[in-house]
Amino acid sequence: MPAISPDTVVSPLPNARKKHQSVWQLAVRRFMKNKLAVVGLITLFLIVLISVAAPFIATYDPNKPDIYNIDGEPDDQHLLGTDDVGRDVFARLLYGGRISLLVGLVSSIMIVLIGGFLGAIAGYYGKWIDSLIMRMVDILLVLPTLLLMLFVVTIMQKTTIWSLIAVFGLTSWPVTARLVRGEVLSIREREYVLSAKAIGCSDLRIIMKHVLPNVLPTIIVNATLLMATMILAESGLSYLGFGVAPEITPTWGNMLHAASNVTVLTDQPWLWIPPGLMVVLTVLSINFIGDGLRDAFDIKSTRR
Amino acid sequence: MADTLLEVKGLKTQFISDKSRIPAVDGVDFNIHRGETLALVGESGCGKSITSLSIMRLIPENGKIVEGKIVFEGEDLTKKSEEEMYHIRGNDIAMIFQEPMTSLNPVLSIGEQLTEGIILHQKLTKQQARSRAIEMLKLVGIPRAEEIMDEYPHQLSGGMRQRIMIAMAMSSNPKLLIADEPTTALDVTIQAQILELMKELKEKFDTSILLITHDLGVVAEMADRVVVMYAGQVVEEADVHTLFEKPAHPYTEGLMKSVPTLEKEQKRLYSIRGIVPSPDEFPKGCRFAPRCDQAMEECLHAQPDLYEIDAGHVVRCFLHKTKEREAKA
Repeated sequence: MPAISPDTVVSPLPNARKKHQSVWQLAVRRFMKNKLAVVGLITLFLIVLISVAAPFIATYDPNKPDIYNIDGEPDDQHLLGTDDVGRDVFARLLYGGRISLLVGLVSSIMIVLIGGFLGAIAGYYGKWIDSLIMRMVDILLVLPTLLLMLFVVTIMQKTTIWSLIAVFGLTSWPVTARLVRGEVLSIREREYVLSAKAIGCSDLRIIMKHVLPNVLPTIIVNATLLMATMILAESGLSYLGFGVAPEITPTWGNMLHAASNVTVLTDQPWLWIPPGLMVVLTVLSINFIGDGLRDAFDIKSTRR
Repeated sequence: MADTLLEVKGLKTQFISDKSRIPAVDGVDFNIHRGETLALVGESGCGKSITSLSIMRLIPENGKIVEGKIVFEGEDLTKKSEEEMYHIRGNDIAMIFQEPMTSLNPVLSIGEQLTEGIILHQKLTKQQARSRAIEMLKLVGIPRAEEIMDEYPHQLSGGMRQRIMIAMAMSSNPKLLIADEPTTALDVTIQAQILELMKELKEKFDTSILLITHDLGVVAEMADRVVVMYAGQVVEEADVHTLFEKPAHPYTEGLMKSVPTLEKEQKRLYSIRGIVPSPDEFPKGCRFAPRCDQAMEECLHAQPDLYEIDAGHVVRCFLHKTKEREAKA
């Protein structure tokens, strides 16, 4: 039998010589070209850094009141002054970032896990499973999220960071589920899924190895934007006084709560401008990153 | 007679919706012997692909095998559990598809996709599977096999991808390879190479092939026997020489005439008038009658059976009913 000589094969395109490029590597390259996204990434990195390194930067305990130094104006001892019980605002700002970022990160991961799982199941299996999950989504979506959150928080009475995260996770997954379901629905019909079935892959294996990696870009973009939304939600709830109690832990949100007092609002801007600015900066950076990721993963821009 | 690997008996696959049942495959019989290439020929929409997907038990949603047996090595596949099918698919029966551009997952490297089936069926370690995959890539004529393993589908041409699909299908040494229009999406020069490759691998691994195609050139090149399908039924079955020399069914004749030739000068290429009726509006009599030039009164009222006009040559047409009587007498 004649061997098949290699030169009968069409040689690959010249650009294929450029090392193996996975979809991911291409996406990273495109992301790096997006200036706004990179600025966002750097800003977010710095914010994370100062929050994580808070104990080394702050010279005061963020939770220790100092009754001799109430409502102090910013000076070289207290960079951003002190609040109504004499706690150092600068220290609280740094430590507060930890909580805000943690709530944002963990709750968006939780949402993506719940929403992603349910969405994938609904999209892949269809039929009654799909109907069941999608009706749950519909029901949750018609309820105003903020009111739902307030309701759950009220029932739980004492709000801790983890209960707040649980509330966010349990109320915000429907949008993600719907998004993932739609993607899975279209990927399920692709020929490579059929061909994976034809080599004997089980359903679970197909979902994990062939469907999810294709949905992952969508999920990542969604998770990023969710993180921003969750940080805002934490701030919003805390501002309204339903968030984590200020005595337990400072968060940007409960620091903003101070601004609900008119005298503070007009006379002590150092109490609320810094946390407000941090929230704006963080959310803005995350949104830039999210937009950058979306463009980076967009198939239509592949040939750029 | 060589021993039978796959026997399809009275297969009926229907698509069931709220209102109706659509018989996409309506009582199909054929068998494939070991080491044989059987071509399943017909126009688009005649049920070829659904037949092959029925064998794999991969019919799209709403589709169901309502009747018939698919006996593979003595066991009825229609009775197997989904669990058992996992071990048969890819291992005993492999399949390659029409579109090499979309049959590979864009986010997984070639190596990941090639080794998946090998690890699944042959219980090899990752390392062993990798070397087996590289061996297969070399076998299907892919240069720089080691490098290709870490590349992604978008970096390869259509012909290369189809070779990879073939490597993937053959890597577990299946007894039956179902090839659903494997060359339709490729250009002519690549088509010839792919067909040549399939022939070689078939010899080497002693695999039977069920080749699904509408291209009679491919049939002549590859097949030992041919089954012609029309509107969900087998209308003619014969070995490849008989079929090309003495096509008996008017539909088969029509197909042959529709192939352009250089020998005769033709003003216009022949085409069978009309289109395949959709399964929900099959005519009462012979399903081909409305398009048939030789249709008789009887064709419009009754469905012809399959008549054996010669050893191994069966035709579903009233024109040959008398011949069978003569042959038997």
